[in-house]
Amino acid sequence: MTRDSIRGSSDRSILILTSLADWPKHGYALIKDIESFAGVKLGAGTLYGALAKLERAGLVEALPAEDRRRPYQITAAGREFLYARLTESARIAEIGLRRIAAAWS
Amino acid sequence: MNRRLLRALLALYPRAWRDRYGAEVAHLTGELIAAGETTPLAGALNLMAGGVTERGRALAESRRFALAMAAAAVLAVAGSLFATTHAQPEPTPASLTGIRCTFQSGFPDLALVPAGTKPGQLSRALVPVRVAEPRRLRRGNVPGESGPGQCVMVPALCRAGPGTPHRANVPVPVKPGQCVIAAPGLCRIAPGAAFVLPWAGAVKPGRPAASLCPAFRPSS
Repeated sequence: MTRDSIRGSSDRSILILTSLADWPKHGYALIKDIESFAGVKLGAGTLYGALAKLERAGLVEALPAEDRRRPYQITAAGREFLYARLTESARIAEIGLRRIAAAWS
Repeated sequence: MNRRLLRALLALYPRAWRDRYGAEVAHLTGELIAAGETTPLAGALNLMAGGVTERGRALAESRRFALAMAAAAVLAVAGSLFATTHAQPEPTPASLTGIRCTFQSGFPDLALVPAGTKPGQLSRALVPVRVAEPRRLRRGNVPGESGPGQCVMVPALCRAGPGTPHRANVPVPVKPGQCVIAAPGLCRIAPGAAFVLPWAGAVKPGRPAASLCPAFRPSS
């Protein structure tokens, strides 16, 4: 298993939700934003696969299209979901970092 | 990426997905290629991978649906087999007709529901009514002769009440003149029948009427 292969679809969902956490974005803006803060470059098919899943789950919603681009925004449920997941990730990250620090010292 | 290739790649996606997101994903792919963010080949491969993934998901969902339907069918067959092997024979409508009776004073009425009627189940039944205006009765609804003050059984659709025992206390078969007790229920008089019901005064056909179920005394 490579480092990249452990990035699953849930990671993509978290990246998308994180990108939408401040304001709505369309596909191109999402890809550029995710690339800038996570260093992950999503393809159009990958992005829309994850967006479709998030929309089915009610975590994001589409806004009216603007000039052939349709922006998406995070829903209240999506914000709650993202908050819970990031809090959990932060807790695990803290434990992991503490253990690594202990092993190094 | 040319339109034909794009259309072919989008055809890999399930129709519902394509209808909803196809135009957007095609536009975004074009944007990414035009901006030099991706190459046509990488864009095509990404769309292809996405299409395969979405097809797989749709297939998995339809399989789950098919399995759920198969399980429901098996349960339905098993349930009907169980009901067939455990049910008591129901009285035929013929066995319930021909009863003439008079009500005990203070007891409004009685509904005869088939044995095995479950609570909430809608079933054909016969309800006794006190004949007030025999000339208004439709031929065929009233067995034998009847006159004012007499009780006859008329066909109705009855919905057993929540207190209905699983097996109604209806003897099988019911003999003319036999005293029976049935359970509470809600009865709807068959269309075409016009009777004065003892429990609710004048009830129009099709109008539901609450029916308590006391015993009654046969007239004969």
